[in-house]
Amino acid sequence: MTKRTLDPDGAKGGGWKGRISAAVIGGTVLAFAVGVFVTIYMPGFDGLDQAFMGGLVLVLAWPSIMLWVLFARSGGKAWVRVLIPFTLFLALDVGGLFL
Amino acid sequence: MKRLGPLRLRNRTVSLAFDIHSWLGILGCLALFVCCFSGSLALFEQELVAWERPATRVDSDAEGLSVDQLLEVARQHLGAEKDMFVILPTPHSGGMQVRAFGDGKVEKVFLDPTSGAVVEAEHETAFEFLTHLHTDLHLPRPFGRYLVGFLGIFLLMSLITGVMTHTKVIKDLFLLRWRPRRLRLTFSDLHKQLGVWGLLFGFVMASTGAVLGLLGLFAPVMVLSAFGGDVDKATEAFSGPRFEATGSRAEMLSVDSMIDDLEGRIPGTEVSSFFLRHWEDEAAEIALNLDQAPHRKLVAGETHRLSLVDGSTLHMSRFTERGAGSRLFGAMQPVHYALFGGLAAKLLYFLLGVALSLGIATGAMIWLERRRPAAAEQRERRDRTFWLGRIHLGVSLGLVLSSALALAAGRIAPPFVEATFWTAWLAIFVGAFFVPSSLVALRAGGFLTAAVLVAVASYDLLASPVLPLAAKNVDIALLTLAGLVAAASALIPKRARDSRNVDSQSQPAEALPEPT
Repeated sequence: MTKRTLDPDGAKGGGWKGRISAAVIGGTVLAFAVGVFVTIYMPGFDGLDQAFMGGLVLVLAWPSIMLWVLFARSGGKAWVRVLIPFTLFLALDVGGLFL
Repeated sequence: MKRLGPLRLRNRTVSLAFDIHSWLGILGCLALFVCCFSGSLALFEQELVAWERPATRVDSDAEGLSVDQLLEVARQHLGAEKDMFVILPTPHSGGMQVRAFGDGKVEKVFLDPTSGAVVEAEHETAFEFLTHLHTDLHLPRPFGRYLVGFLGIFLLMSLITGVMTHTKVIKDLFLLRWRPRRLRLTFSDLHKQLGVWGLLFGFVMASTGAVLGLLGLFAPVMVLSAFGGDVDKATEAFSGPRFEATGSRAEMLSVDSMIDDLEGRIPGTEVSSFFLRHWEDEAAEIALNLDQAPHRKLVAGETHRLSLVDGSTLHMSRFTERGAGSRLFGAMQPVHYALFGGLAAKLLYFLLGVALSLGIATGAMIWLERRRPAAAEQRERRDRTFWLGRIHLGVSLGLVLSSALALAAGRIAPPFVEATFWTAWLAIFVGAFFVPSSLVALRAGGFLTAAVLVAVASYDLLASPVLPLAAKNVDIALLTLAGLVAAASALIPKRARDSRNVDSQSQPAEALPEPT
């Protein structure tokens, strides 16, 4: 019987639990950070227009980010894939909202 | 390093994409099937409202009462002080639909546009029920809505990984080996064909569905970012300033003349519905929703708020005159529900929606077939794949058959739509564990569904003394659908041979590493 475990690299590059948690938790947080970034910085007709665009980008970015994180070689690398862009977007979001 | 397919992906990436695609599919297939199949039926809610409620059917040639006269009847029946949402009559939707809001309740009635007779909408029709199944799976709001939105995200991920696993896209477009006795091969080809041909439709449905479903979840965050958390400011930007009732009585303008005036000012448009607030108060207003000209229907959302006292414009919302974000957002609903292209677009969506549902079902069947024990004696054993297979059969076949039975109940015994649907689904779900063969159950279920459709269409043709053209068309459509379902059921073989010997032919990527 064919058995597949989201782990084609075997024990060497395992950590699929880490990858899934990074994709679900980290991917969600990163998608929201990207959505807020677009809302703040994308030039639009007015605030409502920007909010709509931010929301649309959030929903489309969400599955792409989660997949990108799942394709990492290990759980640790998956978290790195999330945390580096998240830190960047968080800094830009906070800067745009409060400075 | 060997690279595969038109995307030139690495072997490991294709292999991982295949695993993710499989697991996403098996975890979400049942909910996705329910959502996609009920969505395919929900497309026709507007067209079937009057069909299911014969008392609201309208003869389009008859001389009708004015909107003002009908509103007077509605106010006498529902209460003059209540705010009302009104959908103007069409040949398909039946009489004028009025929803009155007050005391935390919503009352709904239909008014015959020729006589003004009031028809109570006491029960949900089958198509209204199925629409709710699609929009929130009949779960408490807003959680059901969010869950459906997450299913859109799930489907998007599944489609992306599905594309990544395709190493022979052109071949997959045309290869269908119909081997009734080697079902896994047929399921595999069918899954790939449906996936590739319906790919664009799948992406559009999944992304628009995710946006519509998750709107309530992301909107507060976006409003917080765009308006500094000022919800009132965001609401005002969307629908204009809100006025409370003053308590002073005022003379109202004619709603008919306001509709005529607006339609005259914007050629090619038609008012489809309106909202009345604070009737006979100085702050009384009407929000007229325009059904736009065909070339502008792709972006919905043109509303004119006018004062009912002096006819002045209070606010005008038109997505087509705003930025890219609003235009895209305004296109979500028309694109998701095929509101832009009339009945032809809805029929195309229906076919593609059923194909998407079938793609989901065949994907689950491949997963189960791959995991069936190879030896004949082991296959007789009721292992994990047996139970999963029967759950899948019970849910999917049960939904199809119980939807047809609910439609029959909606036409023949309206109070029993909900009970019929849930009882039939539960009975079929339980029965699926006791049938000797899934294929026999599928065949029988298909023929039974066709029989129910023929019975309900025949009943309508025979029981209705006067049949407007719109209702007659629905009956003909149901009979045609019954014929198609019966023909598809006849193609299902009564039994399948062991398909393990064709295992290698149905792999999605020929270079997948063998698991240890």
